[in-house]
Amino acid sequence: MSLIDKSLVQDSDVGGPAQALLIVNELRKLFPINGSIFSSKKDYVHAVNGVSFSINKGETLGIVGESGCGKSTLAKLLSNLIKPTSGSMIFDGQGINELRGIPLKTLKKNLQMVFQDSYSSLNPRLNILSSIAYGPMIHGMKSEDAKELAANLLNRVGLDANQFGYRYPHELSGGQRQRANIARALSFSPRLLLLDEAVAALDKSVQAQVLNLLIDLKKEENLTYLFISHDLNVVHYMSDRVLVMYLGKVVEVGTVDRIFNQTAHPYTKALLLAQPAMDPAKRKIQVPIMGDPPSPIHLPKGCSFKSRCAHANSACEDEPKLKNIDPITDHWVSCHHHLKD
Amino acid sequence: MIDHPSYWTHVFRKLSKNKIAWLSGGLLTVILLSAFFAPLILSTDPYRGAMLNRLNPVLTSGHLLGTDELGRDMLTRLIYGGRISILLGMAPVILAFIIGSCIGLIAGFMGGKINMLIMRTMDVFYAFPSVLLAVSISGALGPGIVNSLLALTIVFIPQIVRVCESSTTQVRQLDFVSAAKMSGASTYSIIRVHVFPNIIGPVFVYTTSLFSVSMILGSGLSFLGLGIKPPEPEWGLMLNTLRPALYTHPGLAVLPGLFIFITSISFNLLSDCFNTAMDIKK
Amino acid sequence: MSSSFERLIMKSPLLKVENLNLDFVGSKRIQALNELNFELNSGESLVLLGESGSGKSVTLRTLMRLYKQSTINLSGDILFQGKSILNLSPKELQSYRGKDVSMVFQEAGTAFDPVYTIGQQIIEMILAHETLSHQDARQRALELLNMVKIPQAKQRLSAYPHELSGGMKQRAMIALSLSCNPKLLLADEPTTALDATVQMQILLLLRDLQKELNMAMIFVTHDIGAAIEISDQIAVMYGGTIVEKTSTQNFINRPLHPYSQGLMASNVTMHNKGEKLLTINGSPPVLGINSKGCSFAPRCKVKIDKCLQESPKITRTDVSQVSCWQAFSE
Repeated sequence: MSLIDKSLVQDSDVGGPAQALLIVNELRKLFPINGSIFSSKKDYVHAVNGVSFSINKGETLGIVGESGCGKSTLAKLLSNLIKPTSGSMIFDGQGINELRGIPLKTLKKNLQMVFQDSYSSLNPRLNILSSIAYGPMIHGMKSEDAKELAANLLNRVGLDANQFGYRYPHELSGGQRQRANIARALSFSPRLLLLDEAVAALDKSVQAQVLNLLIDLKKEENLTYLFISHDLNVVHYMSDRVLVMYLGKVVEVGTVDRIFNQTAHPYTKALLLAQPAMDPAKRKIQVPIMGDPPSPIHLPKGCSFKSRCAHANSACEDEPKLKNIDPITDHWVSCHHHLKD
Repeated sequence: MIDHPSYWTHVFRKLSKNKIAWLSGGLLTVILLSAFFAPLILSTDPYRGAMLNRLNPVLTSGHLLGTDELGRDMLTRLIYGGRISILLGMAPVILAFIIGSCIGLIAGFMGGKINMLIMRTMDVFYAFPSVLLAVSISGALGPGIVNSLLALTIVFIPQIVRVCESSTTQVRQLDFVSAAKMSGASTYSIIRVHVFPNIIGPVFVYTTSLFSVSMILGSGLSFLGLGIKPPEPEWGLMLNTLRPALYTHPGLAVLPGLFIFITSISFNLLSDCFNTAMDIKK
Repeated sequence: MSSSFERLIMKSPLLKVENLNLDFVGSKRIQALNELNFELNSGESLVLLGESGSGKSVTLRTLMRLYKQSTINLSGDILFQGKSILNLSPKELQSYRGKDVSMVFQEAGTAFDPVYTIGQQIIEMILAHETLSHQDARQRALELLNMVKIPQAKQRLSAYPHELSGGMKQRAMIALSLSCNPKLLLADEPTTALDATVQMQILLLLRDLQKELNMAMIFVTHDIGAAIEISDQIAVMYGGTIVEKTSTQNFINRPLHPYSQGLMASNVTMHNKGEKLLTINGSPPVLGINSKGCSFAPRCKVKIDKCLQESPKITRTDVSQVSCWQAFSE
C-alpha cells in the first residue's frame, strides 16, 4: 500500500506470491541489416537470441554483461518499446504479447523504467512537476491532484518540491535529475521497475545517495527491481539474484552469493577477475581474457564464448543449453565445462 | 524565490537584450504597419498619375520619392506595393509552415514505410530549383495573386517538411519520448506534449528565414509577368516597369529594389537573432 | 661541492606545478583551478582522482597547453624539467607536445582522423618530431603496435579507425602517444568508456609500458578501483585544487581529508552488501562558484568556523600533503 495519499492505486497481486511477477520465454530480437527491397539476402544482428528467465515478486534481479550483450535491447523489449521477433512475456500470469488498447494501457502502469541518461529522460520544455504529473493525468487523474502527487513524490525522493518543482531539467544536477526520473516512474505506482544503468552516469558520491534511495523505496512501495548494470560491485550490492548475458544469450543465472562466490561459467569468472582489486598489494598481473566478443551478425557455431575461453574443446561445437546445477538455489549455467569449486 | 522562466519566456528575454533584434524588428514593424495602414497615412491615390509629371526625381516638391513612368507618386506606390510584396512574402510561408509541419511530424513520428512514402514524394519536388518550380507552377495556373500565392506555398512545403521530419526523427529517439510511450499515452498526446514543443524551435527558425526568399521569389514572378498585373503596385512589378528608365533615372529605378532589400534583410536578421536566442546550451 | 654535482644529488622533480590558478574568461568568469600545487618525479605514476567539476581534466589540458591564451587567465607556474612551460615559443611548444609530453584521451574514436589509416597517423606523428626516413618511421610504427599488443599489427597499420573495436582503438591511441618516447604521459579517463574486461587489459598495458619505458604518467579518473590498480601516488581533487596527495597504500589505509574519507566510505564494493552506504551530502560543486574558505566545507561533516572563512593551507608530512584545517586534529 503506498504511503502517498491520492495516488494511483497499485494494481493488486493477481497471481499470488508463488506466481513470478515476470516470466520471459525464449525472447528473441533480430535487427535486419543490408535489407533492401531489391535483394532477398538479409543479415541480422542477433541482439537478443533466446533469453528466458523469471523475476519473483519483491526481488531485485541484476542483469550484467558488457556492451553488445543485448541487455539494453532486452530492456526495450520488456518495456514494450519494441516488439520481439519471437518469444513471450508473461506479467503476473497474464501474457503481454496479445494485449492491445485499454488492457495494454493498464499494464503499462505496472512496468516503468529509469533510463541511463538523466537529461534526455526529461522533456526540456516541461518543468519537473509537470513531467511527473503527466503520467497520472494520462491515467485519468485530475490536473491539480496529479500536481499534488508529483510534489509529494519529489519530497519522497529527497528533492524539496517548493525548491525544485518549477525548475527545468537543465537547472538540475545529474543526481537530482535521476531522482526526478525515479519520482516520475513511481507516479504510476508500478509493480516492476526497470533500472537500465540508472546510476552509471552519476558521480560516485551521488551514486551512493541514489542507491540508498532505491533500496528504501523498494521496501516502502512494494516494488520489484530489474537492475541492469555493467558495474559488478553495484550489482552485487543491489541484487538478490544475478543473470549474466553474453552475445544475446543467458550464460548464467543464480543467487548473488552463488554467482559471485561459486561462479560456474568461465565468462562470469573472467568478468569477476577483471574487477580491480582495491589493494595495491593484490594487483593483477595477467589479463583474464583477451580480445573482443565475436560479431553478433555472423554468430559462431556452437558456444559463442568458445573463441575466448581457456577451457574450450571439441564439445563446445555444440551449443550448450541452460542446466540447473544446484536445484536448491536454482543456479543455471549454459556451459559444457562449467567451473566447479 | 528564484525565477524559473519557461523556454519561450527565456527566448524572448534573450532576444530583448539583442540590439540587432530591436533594429530589424523595429524596421519590420514600421514597414508592416505602414503597409497595413497605407490608406490612413497617405492621401494620394497610387493609381492616378499625370503623364506631364512622369519621372520626377526624388525630393521633388509634393513627391518625396519622385514619380514613376506614368506620373504616379513613388512613395505612395511603394507603400501600397509593400502590401502585396509582404503578403507574397509571409502568406505562402505561413501556409507552408502549417501544412508542412503536419506532414513532417507524421512522417518523422511514424517512420518506416509512411516516412519513406512521404519523404520520397517531397524529394521529387525538392529536386527542382525553387525559382523553376515557382515559375512552372505559376505559369501553369495562370497570372493573378492567388495563383502566385499557391505556387509559392507549394514550393516551400517540401523544404519545411524536410526540416520538420529531421527534427522529429531526432526527438523521437530521446528517452523522454520513450518514457511517454511507456506511460500509456496516446500518440496524439505524445506528439502534442512532448514532440511538438521540442521541434518547433528549429522549424520556426528555418521558416522565418524563408520570408525573404518568398518575397523575392514573388517579386520575381511579378517581374516576369507571371504574378501581379499592372496597374497593381508591387515592388517586383515596379522594378520591371521602371527598367526602361534605369539609365536615365537610376535613382528612381532602384527604389523598389531597395525596399525589397531592406525588408528581406530585416526578416533575415530577425530570424538570425531568434536562432541565437533559441540556443540554450544545455 | 660544485653546483652541478649538487644538482645531481638532489633529484629534481620532472614536473612541478606551483600555485596554479586558472580562470576561464568569457561572458562569466569561471574559476577552474585554485592554488594547485604538486610535484611528479620521473618514472612515477600519479592518479588525479575526482568527480565532475573537480578540475582534473582542466589540469591535464593546462599541462598540455591546450587552452588558447585569450580564453584563460593563468597565474602561478608549471615547470617541466626545471623550465617553465608557460612561456614557450611556438617552436618550443611544438617540441614539448608529443615529444616531451603526450596525451591519451577518453574517446579513442574521436582522437583519430577518420579519413586516414592508423599507420599514416602514427607515421605522421613520428616524422613531425624526428628526422627519419618514411621507411624507418613505418618500421617504428609497426614496433609500437606490437608494443601495445595489437594482434596482426602489420595489417592493422593499413586499417582505418572505424575498422577497429573500442579496445583496439585505445591501444592504437596509446601507440600514437608513445611514438616519440615522451617523458610524461597524460591520460584523461582512457578506460572510462570501455567494458570491464577491456578496461583491465588497458590498465595493465599502461602499467607495464610505464615501468618498461620509465615514463612518468598522470592518469585522470573518477574510479577508485582503477586508480589503485595503476598508481604509485594518488592526488584527490576537489573544487579545482588537490585536497590530499599521498601514496596509494596510505590512501587506502588512512585517508586524511574528509572528502577522501567520504569517497572511500561511499564506494560500493563487494563487501558492503546489506549495509546502508555512507554518503557525502550534497553534490560536487559546479565549476565556477568562487567562494571564501574551503570548497568542500558545505558538504563536510567535521567543519569548523575557520573552514568557512579561510582556505586551508597545505600541510606536508614526509609521505603526503593535505589541505584541511581538521586533518590532524582528532
